[in-house]
Amino acid sequence: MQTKRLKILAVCGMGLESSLVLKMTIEKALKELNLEGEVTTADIVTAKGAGFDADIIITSNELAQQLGEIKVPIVTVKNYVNVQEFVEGIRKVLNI
Amino acid sequence: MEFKEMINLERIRINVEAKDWKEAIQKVGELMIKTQCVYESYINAMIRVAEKLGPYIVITPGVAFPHARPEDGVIKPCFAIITLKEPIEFGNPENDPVKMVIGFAALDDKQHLNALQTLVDILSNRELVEKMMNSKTEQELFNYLKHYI
Repeated sequence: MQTKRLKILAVCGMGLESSLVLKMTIEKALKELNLEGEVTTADIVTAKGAGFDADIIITSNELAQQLGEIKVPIVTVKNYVNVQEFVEGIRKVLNI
Repeated sequence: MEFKEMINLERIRINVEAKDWKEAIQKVGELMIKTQCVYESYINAMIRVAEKLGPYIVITPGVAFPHARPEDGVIKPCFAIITLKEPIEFGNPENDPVKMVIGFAALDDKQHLNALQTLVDILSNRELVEKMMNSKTEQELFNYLKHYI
């Protein structure tokens, strides 16, 4: 089990309820992966600046493209409430 | 704010007719206005957010989740659910067409989190979502939610 606390940023278009929905699903996925993590939410504009402070960014396909070139690994999700999709995405970027 | 305080039978309608996604949001918003949860301005705000975010409000296959900011005209936190007689395209290739629209109104960041968490739990149960979408009466749809109340 990993001991490091992951910093995850959930990004939606306006930083409203949709990013909270993302956050809740991310928290479920972390639990399933047995990982410790801290999830924050942001709108796309803020994320472009704050994103660099995160270990992983989770967002939709379209928004990922708008984020442009950043060094933080991005997990893109289609279904905001599908825990398994999130688990697989996080596994992939963390190589676990 | 608990889940059961945010939804009631009056804010559920099944087999609603709408010609496009805007009208679908209008119809779900009208239920929120009629039950004194939001001012009329909130409907336009939900439409504006959807125009800006477009496809992102379709958060899971077949389900749109229109919402706007607290200052756009929320009187009390609530949500309303309609199912559509004919599924509608919202422009999300993965999750279209939309069969159920859940309008959401919150007052601040923390107050409604319990209720939103419950809603996320419900939406992540695909079998339950399908049952809700195919409900024959408002009471049937409400009964599915009652397990979570």
